[in-house]
Amino acid sequence: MSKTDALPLAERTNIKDWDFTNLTLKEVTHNSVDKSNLIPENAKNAIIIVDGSVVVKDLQAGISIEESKEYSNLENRLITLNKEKANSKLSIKVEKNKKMDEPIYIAYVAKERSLIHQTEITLEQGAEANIVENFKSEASLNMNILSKVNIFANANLESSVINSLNGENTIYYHRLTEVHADASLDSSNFILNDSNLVFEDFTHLVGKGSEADVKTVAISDKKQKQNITVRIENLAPHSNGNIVNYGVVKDDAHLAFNGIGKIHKGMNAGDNQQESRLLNLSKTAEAIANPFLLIDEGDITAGHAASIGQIDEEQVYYLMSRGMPKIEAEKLIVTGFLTPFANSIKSKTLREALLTSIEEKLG
Amino acid sequence: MSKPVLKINDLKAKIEEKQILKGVNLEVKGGEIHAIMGPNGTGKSTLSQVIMGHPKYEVTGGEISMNGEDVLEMEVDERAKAGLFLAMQYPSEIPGVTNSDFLRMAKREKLKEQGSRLKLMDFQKDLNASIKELKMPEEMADRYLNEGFSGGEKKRNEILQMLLLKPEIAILDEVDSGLDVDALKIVGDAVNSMRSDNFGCLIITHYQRILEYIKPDFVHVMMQGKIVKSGDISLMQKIDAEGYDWIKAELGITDETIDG
Repeated sequence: MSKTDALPLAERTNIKDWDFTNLTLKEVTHNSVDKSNLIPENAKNAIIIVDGSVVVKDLQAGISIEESKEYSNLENRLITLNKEKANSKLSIKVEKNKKMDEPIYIAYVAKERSLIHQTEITLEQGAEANIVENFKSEASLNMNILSKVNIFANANLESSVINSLNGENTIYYHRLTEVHADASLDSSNFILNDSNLVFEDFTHLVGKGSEADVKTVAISDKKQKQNITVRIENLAPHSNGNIVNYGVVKDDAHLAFNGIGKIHKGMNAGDNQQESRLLNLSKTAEAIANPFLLIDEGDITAGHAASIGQIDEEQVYYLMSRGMPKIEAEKLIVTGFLTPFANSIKSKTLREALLTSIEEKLG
Repeated sequence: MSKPVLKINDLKAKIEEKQILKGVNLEVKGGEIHAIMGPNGTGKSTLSQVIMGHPKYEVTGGEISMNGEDVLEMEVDERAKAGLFLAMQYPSEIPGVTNSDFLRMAKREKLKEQGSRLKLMDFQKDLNASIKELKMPEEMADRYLNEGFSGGEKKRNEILQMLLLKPEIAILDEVDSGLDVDALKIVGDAVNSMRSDNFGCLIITHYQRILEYIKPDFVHVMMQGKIVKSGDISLMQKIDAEGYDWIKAELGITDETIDG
């Protein structure tokens, strides 16, 4: 396919010279890992993959894992690269009508080589699960991650992806989720790394009555460049998509949020909403909100809201006048800015991870 | 502990290119209540903001010291830690930050400065007591800081912060505007409850109303960016009866504002 030669369409970010292909490839195997900081102590379901080796696999009944099958995602050069070089794979399936009452924690760790990973998550009909995926690296290694999620009829997935890869590296992350009839996705992306990143989260509402709620937060600092695209397409009637993006930029960072809502022809009674809120803490940082609504159908509702704010000097002065050092005042304002996002996150652990990241990035 | 003292000597300040303070002299000590009166536009609020260190104002001359230390060399937070407090005329709204979280953090900073730690139970007790004293609804603690507060609620919230942070010198900038008579009395009682040798207060107002509840020891009149007259409570009473015209006549001016 000639199209596969193209880079991902990172709207408003120039990624031409990015180091996506400089991958560290070597044979390594791991048998053990320090679980702390990767999964909660009391986790009932946990999978940890280090440099492609599954080193922890504790699962309740009703879930199975295997190496992922052939991929059929969108095509671009980086997806092709992943398919050729993938060195870490996981396919996880929750059985029909199985309602998991304990979250499933998956940690992917890059220790010595680039993580070129594929995940496939499948919820069979009527299944319910809460899956928390945590991407971590212990070195400045470039990454390429593909994820395919299938939520079949009447199934409900609560999904959280935490991207806390350290080091000055380049990451490509691409996820495609299909939501079938009367199924739902409640998804949160936490982009809390130090990387240059192209992040694509695409959701296809393919079944009548399907719903997706995709929330993303990113904090970019120093010289980081991050381009995040969240796209929801209504490919069935009576489907609802909702995108919420929150971003904070400081120093010389660049953060672009592309929100894309697309309602295809004939998909009546659909709804597609998006909201982007960005806070820019410095004069040299760049915060971009780029909303698109592509609508080919009349009988629908859709809307978007976007705002980019600067930190308010008066607010900082007010807080400082009560004895708070400037840095604490700024942190408090940022925390307040992210409060509506944090409040929409059900998991206390994840809310705390977000607060910790604010501490680290603004400290 | 010796009495706190705030000294202002020949203070001059401007905003953008406009000179507003043109040589202010004032000394406020622990145990004293001072009132600065004067019509609008004479530089009263600017004085309070310059003392606290608002970034928009530039000091062009003179000195401010707090307990002998140079205030003009301090960052805004250091001024607060040195014992200064300004109840602002227009407090900022901070969405997403609850009043109680904010107060707890501010109190923690203050205690850290004094080398002690915040005890959560004590803080909660003090907060509840102060909220009650100010007859504020209990849920004020859980609302976002100043967001959606009425004018009167904002003013009471400023006084709440003063009660909790226990400054040595407090400046109340137009704290009486937006308050009804009942609220004025509550705020007056709260300020009076802090009266001691370790607390001095500077009340900036262009009404006399608040001063019926908080009796000042010293009354100053500000015009054209300077304190032009000082006296005791009888000065306030004379202004109350006769207005400001006699002072202008004494000074031989017609325009009392900073443009005059």
